[in-house]
Amino acid sequence: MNENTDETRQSDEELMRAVATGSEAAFTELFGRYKRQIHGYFGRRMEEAAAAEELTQEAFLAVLCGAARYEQRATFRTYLYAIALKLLRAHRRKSVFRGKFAGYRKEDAQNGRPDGTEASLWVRGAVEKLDPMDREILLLREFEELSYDEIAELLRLPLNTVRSRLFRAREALRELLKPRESIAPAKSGQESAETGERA
Amino acid sequence: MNTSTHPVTREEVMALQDGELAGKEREAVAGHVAFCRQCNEFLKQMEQTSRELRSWGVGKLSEAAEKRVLAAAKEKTTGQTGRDRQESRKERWSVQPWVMVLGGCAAVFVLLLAIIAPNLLRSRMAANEGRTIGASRVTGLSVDNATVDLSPYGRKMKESRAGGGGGEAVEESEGAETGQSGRPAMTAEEIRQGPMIAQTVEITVVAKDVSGARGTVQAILAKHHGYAAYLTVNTERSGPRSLQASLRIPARELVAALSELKSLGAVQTETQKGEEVTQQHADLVARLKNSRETEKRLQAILQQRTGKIADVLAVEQEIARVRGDIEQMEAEQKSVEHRVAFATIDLKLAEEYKEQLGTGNISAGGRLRNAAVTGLRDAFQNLLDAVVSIIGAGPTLLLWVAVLFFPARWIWKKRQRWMWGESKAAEKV
Repeated sequence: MNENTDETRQSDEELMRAVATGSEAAFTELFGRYKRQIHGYFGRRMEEAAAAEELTQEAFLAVLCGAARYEQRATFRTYLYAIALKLLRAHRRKSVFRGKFAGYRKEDAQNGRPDGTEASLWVRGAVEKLDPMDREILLLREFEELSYDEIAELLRLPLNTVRSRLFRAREALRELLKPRESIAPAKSGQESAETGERA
Repeated sequence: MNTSTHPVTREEVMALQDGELAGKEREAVAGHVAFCRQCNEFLKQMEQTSRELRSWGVGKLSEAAEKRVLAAAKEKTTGQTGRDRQESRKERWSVQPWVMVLGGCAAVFVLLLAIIAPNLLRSRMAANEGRTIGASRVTGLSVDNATVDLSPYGRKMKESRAGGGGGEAVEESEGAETGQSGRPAMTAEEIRQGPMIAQTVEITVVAKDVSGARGTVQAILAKHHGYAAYLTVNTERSGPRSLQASLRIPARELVAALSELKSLGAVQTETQKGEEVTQQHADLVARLKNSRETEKRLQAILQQRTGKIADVLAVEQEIARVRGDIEQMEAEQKSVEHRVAFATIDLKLAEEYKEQLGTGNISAGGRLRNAAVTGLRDAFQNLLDAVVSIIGAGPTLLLWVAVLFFPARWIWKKRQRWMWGESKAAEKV
């Protein structure tokens, strides 16, 4: 049953070509497939939840408006994340500009950050300490589940650089997360036990 | 863990974990990891880190946002959406490349026009003015509208015309037509009547043909009873020819002669000066009168009185000295009166240079060397000009950027907000 579903399921690229011809259903399908990932992509990189939501909308609207010009040079996923990356960079540029010229304070943004669990905040704090490029590669790999090739294409980096930077980021993150294990040994121990059971 | 104890690196173990290895490399790393306790431990640590990282959750996209995106998609597929309207507006606002090129060309054209037009108009106006004055002289009409007339004698002439005495005008017109004016230069009495002004005009004209222009200059001199104090013609084989001359024209003929000279070509520069020498002349006349009286008295003494030979000789010496002074002053007086009676026109006549075919006298090597030197010099000059321009205009540009930055930013934000509002409105609809 699942195999049949997989066979009948259209690829992202086919759906995108359908969107180019004006298919609303194809766009809805694509949106359904990627809304969580794209929102997560922005949510993990931005201070304000509202801004993340706004940029998510912008990214899909950009896909919609650019559908007529779409050419399959890479996977749709890479195309979508390239749009997201571009929007994110533009947003960051504007934020820096606002911060410098319009007296925009970072505290204002942090006030708008949604409350997270202790674990989320701890991980977020650790990730923020990473080198920006290492962090980006790590997040693209862990959350967006992009392959090394896709990350290299998206960030215009050599493949080996992506691999070595990812390794460096994971090692650094492991070191950064160690203190938490000592603070909350019970929880980690529980998780280890769970992992052991699964194994 | 290093490659001396392990045949694979941690990076490769990580890549295996991520499913990024293929073929023999994958088999080799997988084969090692299966039996290596340290590598397994490393993999577990990696998995643990990944699990912890993935505990970082992000909230879901709100339903309102989902609806907005889907509504936009629906509108996009069914007809023109607010976003499309934005796009069309953007297209309207954004400048097409060909428009930019066209605009650039237009800007360059306007700039060139702004540079060239004043010079062109100036030379045209000068030529027209010359023609007007020439024509008025022929027909006997008033030349009140002539703008260049510094000569007091010219003004006097106009006054006499305005006063109803048509004889002067007729005489002038006859002179102009026949080329023989009845009064080529002013008499000493005429000169002494009004303020005495020695006029000097410097004029640079670009003519098409210097040879022809030279003949015309000679004709103008003959017509107005003038003469050339000096005249130099430069006729280089491989370059533009030029003529330099210092012409003396009777002051009353200056305006007419000048207008005719201007009609030789395009006037590039024109400078007119008037030096008042009335006081200098009056001083000379007074001194001359005194010296003559002194001379008369000395002669009377010599004739009427008798005395020693030495006294006679002393009187004769004094007479000779006074005579010398008188002659010197008479010469100066004549010179001053001549300067007033005859205006000086320093004429520079350049030819519109047209490159001729042929190698000329210079060898190919010499020409190449000259070209290289000229090229380098021009390049350096251009670079210098560019730097000077940037230094010169930089502060002004920065000032304007600083002044216009905030208004432009404000307008841009207004526009963005307006477009966003339009989009929201369209989505609500």
